[in-house]
Amino acid sequence: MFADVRRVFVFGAVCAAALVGGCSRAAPAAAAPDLAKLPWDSIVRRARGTTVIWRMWRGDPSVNAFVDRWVAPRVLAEYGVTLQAVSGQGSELVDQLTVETQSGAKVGTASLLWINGETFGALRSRQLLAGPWSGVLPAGALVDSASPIISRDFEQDPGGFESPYGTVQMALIHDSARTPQPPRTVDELTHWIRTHPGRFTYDQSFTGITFLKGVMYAQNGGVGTFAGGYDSTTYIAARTRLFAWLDSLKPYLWRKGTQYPADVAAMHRLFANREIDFSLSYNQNEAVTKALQGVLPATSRALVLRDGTLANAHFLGIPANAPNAAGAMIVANFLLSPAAQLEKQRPTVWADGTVLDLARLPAEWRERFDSIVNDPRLVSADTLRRYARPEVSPRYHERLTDDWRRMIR
Amino acid sequence: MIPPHVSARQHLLTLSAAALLLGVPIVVGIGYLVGGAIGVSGDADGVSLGRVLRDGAVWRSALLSLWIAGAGTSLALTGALSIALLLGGASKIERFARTVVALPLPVPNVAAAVAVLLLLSQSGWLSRVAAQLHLIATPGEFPALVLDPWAIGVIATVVWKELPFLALVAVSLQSLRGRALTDAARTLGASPSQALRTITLPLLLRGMAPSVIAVFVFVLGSLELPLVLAPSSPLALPLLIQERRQSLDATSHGEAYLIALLATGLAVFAALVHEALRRDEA
Repeated sequence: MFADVRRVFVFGAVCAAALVGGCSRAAPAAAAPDLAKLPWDSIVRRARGTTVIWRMWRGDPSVNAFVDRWVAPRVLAEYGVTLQAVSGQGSELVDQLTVETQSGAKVGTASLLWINGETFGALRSRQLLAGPWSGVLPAGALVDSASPIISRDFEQDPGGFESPYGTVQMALIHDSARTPQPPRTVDELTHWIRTHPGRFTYDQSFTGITFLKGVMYAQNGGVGTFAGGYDSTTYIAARTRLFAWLDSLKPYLWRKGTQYPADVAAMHRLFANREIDFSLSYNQNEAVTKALQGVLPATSRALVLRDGTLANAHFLGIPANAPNAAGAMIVANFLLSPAAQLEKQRPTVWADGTVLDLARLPAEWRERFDSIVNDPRLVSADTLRRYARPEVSPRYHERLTDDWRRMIR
Repeated sequence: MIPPHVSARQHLLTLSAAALLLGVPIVVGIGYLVGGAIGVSGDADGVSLGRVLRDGAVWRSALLSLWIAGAGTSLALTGALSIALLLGGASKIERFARTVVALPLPVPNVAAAVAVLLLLSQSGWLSRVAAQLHLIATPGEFPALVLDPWAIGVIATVVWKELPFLALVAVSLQSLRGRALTDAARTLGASPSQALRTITLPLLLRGMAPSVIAVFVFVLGSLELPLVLAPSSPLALPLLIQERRQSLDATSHGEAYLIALLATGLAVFAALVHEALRRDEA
């Protein structure tokens, strides 16, 4: 009976939302795994003249501009696919698909999702993702499949249910004019915070918790200690050490650790206004991108801690109820093309790291990528590679977020 | 009272239609919250009421939101009454002053919050002026007026945004009835302070009560201002609801629905208090 009540509730909610989004019980178009058995030409033909709704994070104007003004016109011109990017991330994606599925509607609204880590895990466990399909993308042959950052998603096997399209690495941002000799390790950072009271903080959103997670790994023998799935005993011991460190530093943090910025944008504002001396970003190139946009000082630079900084890839998934899986696969493939990956990586565009193995590209494309990567304002590719550490089970992030809110904030 | 040209049946139909139009969205909304809290709507798992009621974070958030709504509404009301009493006349200067006071009315809440952030933050305009005057040497020496534990920045914005609305109501009441009754009291021998205490203020406060309750409830549930200006600890109630709703843990979703129900209960309680006061007066 409870299930019936649930269906009534959910269907009512979906139909209310359907005034905007459509409440369809129509049969779905060909599913992604079925399409993946067809020749690529056939998928291209099926996609022509269709529309793809891409539910993605819309929080950065640079990212939005890349998708709306660079990608969308090109997939329309080259493949006849109309791309519409709409807002949606993390738990919103899970909620939306759960509600659509529970209502009994066979066809949802979005055909493409920006996902990774815990969202991928949540969608997979609820069987809300279509797949496998990513193996059929022709441009997938160029992907750096040997990289542990790209081939695993927070230790989860993508299993063909998602296609990578960008990489990022955690970095601290400092002003090279203001802090010419920044700390390079967790120990040096600890000393710096103690000797510069009120000049350091971290935000309470995903990026801040990722920074803390990196410190936790560094304090406990590296990320390898946490590999192989979530282990409660390991976590509790590591958390105790991390929170003792945080408690000891609290009096030296911005606002003595009684308040924390809401997100990275708030961190950037405090940093640009000289209220603090470091900002954070889960994109190693953001210091330069934001400096070019005038958001951060022109002398802003990124640094990666030598104890290791977390890196991950972001992926594209296709919902199990996608109305246009063929179109979604076309867009996913286009985003893996060298042209799209190069454009995306330009500091003036988005500065998102590539997922391609540059050794597999023709020499002319390699040179173009090198010209970006060798920008002296950016952290060198060698340094990034040396200190990059893969994400482990997303459960560590979830637990640390909950516990930090409960015990530290 | 039924107007003379309308039959009782027509009147009942009109009332039913109005009740349907106004009531259905509210009932559906509350029904969805109840469904979410017990785990039959959305993707929430059912949650125990006891656990939420024992959660100190929920009560700290509720107290902060009540403080913001209470202090903000009281200050805006005080300002509105002052304007009605001091600038309620028909002279050009008074009309001009009232126009200036009304200017923030169309400013969106988010824009108001950002403006206050730029003005009051430790690196804001006031802080820079203080630095120019050598009153402070670093941003950290400027008092924390935003993201501060007393939510001064949020309350200041609430006053700036809500004072014009309440002032419009107060000035209108004063010009419609207040001045004439005050003049009558004065003619009958009341001193200015007696007339203010026994006639003008009670009349204005009674007339403004619905607007004051509306402002209080609106601020209590407002998300935008706390999002930009409020402290991170404790979180304002709407932010706590959002944080738990956005978690990937379905149990947190149930908590979010339940806390939203508690917030709705606070708002309904404020409306009931108003109705009770009105009944007592009648």
